Amino acid sequence: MSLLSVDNLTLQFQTDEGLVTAVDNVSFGVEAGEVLGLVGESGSGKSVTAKSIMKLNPENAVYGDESRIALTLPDGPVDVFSLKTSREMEIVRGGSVSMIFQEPMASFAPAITIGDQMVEQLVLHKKISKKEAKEWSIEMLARVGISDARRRFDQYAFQLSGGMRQRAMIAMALSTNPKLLIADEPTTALDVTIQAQVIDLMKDLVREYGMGIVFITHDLGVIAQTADKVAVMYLGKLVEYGAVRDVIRNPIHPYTQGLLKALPRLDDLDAPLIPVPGDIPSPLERPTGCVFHTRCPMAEPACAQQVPTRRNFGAGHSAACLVAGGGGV
Amino acid sequence: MTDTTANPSSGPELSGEEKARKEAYFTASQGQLIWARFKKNRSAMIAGTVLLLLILTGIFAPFLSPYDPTIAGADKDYRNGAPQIPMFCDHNGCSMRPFLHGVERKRNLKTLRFETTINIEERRYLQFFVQGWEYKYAAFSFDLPGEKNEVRFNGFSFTTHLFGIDDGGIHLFGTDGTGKDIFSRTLHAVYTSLAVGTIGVVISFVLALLIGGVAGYFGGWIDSVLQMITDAIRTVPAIPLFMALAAFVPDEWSSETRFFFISCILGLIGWPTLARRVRTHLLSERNQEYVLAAQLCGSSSGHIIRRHLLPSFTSYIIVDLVISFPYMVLSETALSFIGLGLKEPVNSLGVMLQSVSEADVLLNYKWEFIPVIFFVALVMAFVFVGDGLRDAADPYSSTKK
Amino acid sequence: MKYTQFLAMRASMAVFTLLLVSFIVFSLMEMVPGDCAERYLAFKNTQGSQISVADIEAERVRLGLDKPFIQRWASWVGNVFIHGDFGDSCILRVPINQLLKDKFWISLGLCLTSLILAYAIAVPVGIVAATSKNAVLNNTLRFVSYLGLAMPNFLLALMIMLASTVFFGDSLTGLFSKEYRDAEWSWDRVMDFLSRAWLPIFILGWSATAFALQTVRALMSDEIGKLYVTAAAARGISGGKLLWRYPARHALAPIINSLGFDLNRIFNELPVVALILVLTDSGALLIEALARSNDQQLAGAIIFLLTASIVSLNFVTDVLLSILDPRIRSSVMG
Repeated sequence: MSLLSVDNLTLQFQTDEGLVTAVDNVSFGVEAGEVLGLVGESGSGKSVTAKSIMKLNPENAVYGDESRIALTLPDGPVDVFSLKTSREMEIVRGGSVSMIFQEPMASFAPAITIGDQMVEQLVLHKKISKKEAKEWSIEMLARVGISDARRRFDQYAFQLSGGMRQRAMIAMALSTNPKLLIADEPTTALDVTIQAQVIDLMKDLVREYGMGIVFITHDLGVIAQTADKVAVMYLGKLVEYGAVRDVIRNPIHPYTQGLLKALPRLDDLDAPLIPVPGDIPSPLERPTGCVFHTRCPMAEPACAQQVPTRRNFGAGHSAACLVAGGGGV
Repeated sequence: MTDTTANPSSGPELSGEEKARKEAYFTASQGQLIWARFKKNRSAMIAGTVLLLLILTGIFAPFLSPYDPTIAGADKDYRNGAPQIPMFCDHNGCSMRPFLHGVERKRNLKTLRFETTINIEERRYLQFFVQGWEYKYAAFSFDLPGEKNEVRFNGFSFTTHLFGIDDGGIHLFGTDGTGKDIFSRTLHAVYTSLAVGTIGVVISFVLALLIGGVAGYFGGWIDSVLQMITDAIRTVPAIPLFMALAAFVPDEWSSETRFFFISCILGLIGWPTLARRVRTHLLSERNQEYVLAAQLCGSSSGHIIRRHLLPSFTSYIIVDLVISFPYMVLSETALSFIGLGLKEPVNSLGVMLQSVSEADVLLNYKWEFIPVIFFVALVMAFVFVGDGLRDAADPYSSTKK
Repeated sequence: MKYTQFLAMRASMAVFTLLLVSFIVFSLMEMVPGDCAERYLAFKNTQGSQISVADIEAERVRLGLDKPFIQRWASWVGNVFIHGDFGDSCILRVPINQLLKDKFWISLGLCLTSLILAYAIAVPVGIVAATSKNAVLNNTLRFVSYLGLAMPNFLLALMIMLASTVFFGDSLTGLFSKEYRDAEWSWDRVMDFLSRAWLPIFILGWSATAFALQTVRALMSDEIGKLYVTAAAARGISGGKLLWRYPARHALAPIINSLGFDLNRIFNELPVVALILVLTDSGALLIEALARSNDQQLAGAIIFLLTASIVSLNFVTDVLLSILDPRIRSSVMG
């Protein structure tokens, strides 16, 4: 059993315009000690997918009947959707699963000290005294490379620099010793040099703690560095899934190919950047058939009618495309 | 599959109509976008309809009123009279034309009070487009203190009214203690409220644009000084200050002059909040990158103000104006009620309600409260429309569900 | 050390505002046609005594009205700030302090009580409304608070009086029963006052509550949508703790900030409510001063005192905010 397994996750939002599909029949898994990169443009449903693991989506979210998210923890398996009360939910929220958000400034409460927020979480999950929690928090802050951790403990988020805030966020997320860490674009809001530091830090921590990570980003370059496996999402659909080397060296889905072609290349500065044509359609106007067919260079008439299923193109490498890889229609 | 809400137009090529629609959306002006969002807000649309009706009622008040709302039109035979509702049927059968029963008024020789008796045998029929008291449109007469400052334009006179009755009076909302028709007075009061609000809003808008504009445009110490003064004025409670200002109005001023002066004072008091908003808009817009871009393209500052800054916040300013409107109306009513605002023969809700706090009126002549319904509807309509406009102008503001 | 600097800064800004306000008020008082000497003597004239131009001039010099405007303003301000003395009323020839006596404090008490009540209702209800997904509840609250905005307090007062005359045969007007109106303060008088004060408090608080409700609801729904609340939920914090320690705690600062504006709003209603309920507080005195006798000195004193209360409240809320909000605290204390 893998640490996290998401099966047939479908999620719709109840809005004034009717049901809007945000995630459509997505399945993937994460093993302990493994980093899964979840890639896609904004609006592709990657953040919503990650939040589903902790049931953090707004109350107007409707999950599909077939959807299942399961965690295999040392104490036994947990079915996330069967958790009802907030006490039960503590298992996934901050207990075995922690989450890091894109904007470290906005994810700390502005008028509560960083230390107070860390201690609050530790006391809630670890059943230790406040004093022990404080010592442990300071140790964690020091471990993620925050100098003068004892002083920082009593400071507020606005008193820290951007990189330091994200380190503190990581320290807080790891302090409860979670089995799974969800990182929602943890480096997007940071400077490039600090990005590298934070990514290095996260890699070290995975090795040290042996936990699984779901790493959400729109940056394939970051994924290539950090992830073991990658899942490419487009408009709520998982279009390609596989080991990071396979997907990047041998992309099957035209969307993945497009994303890779759009990346600037440092080794060949004259190589033209080829953007994926068109805009991502509004979720209110989801295309029929293959969701990507409106922008696909390889689209055939059948793509507008038939919904492609994921097909295997090698060990653990699959893609949902009717045309690519000689599938034919 | 969950997403099979088939959308035929979303093929690889957009249909022409679809393209035009998207094009319209992306190139829509601020005003068009606000209107598009406003239309979706049902309560604001209902309020908007009510508001439009009330405005029309106000504008056509003389035509809709069967009687002159001043003492000249008072019905001496029907003082403190109850509302009369036209009917189609009585015990003598029905008629196509609505009618009222005749009333007679006699002094009760025992109590010495006038008593009204209804003669259910007599029918008075309702007539439409009748000739009645004379009213004027576009008449303009302005008499400032001083001899030569009188401006006069006689305007256009009309005598046609929507409805009237054969003989005697028709008082849909009854009459007050002097026999004035409450229906006619209410319609004119709606007009007065709208006029006071409009003048007040325009004046405070001009002041706000001037002062807020100067503060926002120059910035620096001018901004700080102006801000300090604005804030100081904002801390003074407006109604007591207004009372102090209104107390200057000499009693000998004509009611029109008084009306104009009171509206001006309302405008004077309303500007600080608006000026602050103008300044904030200006400051934040001025530092936007599109302004820099325009400057880099070599546009003159006049061009930038006209073509970029003004269009970017006129819609917000309009919203602010609509929001500040009801406060003008409320202040005027409160002031007139105290006796420091408008006075007879001008009809305003405050003036009309002055007599209502007497126990006699409270208990016996409850129809004198009917104008309150119109008034509350007017203010509510403005508040709802203002709120709807604000939400439409700034979709990220507050009322997310 | 820096904190005392901050306090001194705020205090001097408050004093500056008051000076500015006193200037406005004093100018208003001066703008009334006819000065104090003329009007008093004219008043005496009606009582039978003959007054000459020379008498008016003499009176003018005695009152110091011959001095330039700025100098008179300075001495007025000086007396007010240093001795708390507003001078004499022009018409009544009595010291204004004696006229106001406890009337101002009664008014202030009424207004502050309604302010506190307004927030005591608006804060919990607004927070519940912001968190609740119940459309019926939300729309009802929205409608009620709009009604609070659109229904002027004097209409509400009239309605209540109508109801009370119909049901109790007593119009509930006045702050005291007849026997206590001019009595010295005593336990019985206090009880009598309290038994009648609830009505003006209720009416004064009505639209303030409506406003506060809207403010609290908007601020709360703003805070609830913020990322740090989701982040706290992701750490397992839930229920009351998630509500009160996170968004409610953070919405507190702007709510405190709005107190001054709401006191201002309540003061606006004071004169009208005083008139309808036939109260004998400073609101009624203000109407008396302005509408009946044109007593600008008394009116100016009342307006100044009302504004001074707002400025003081703003100062207190500023200090409170600097303690509550770490961002302000660290900027003033380092």
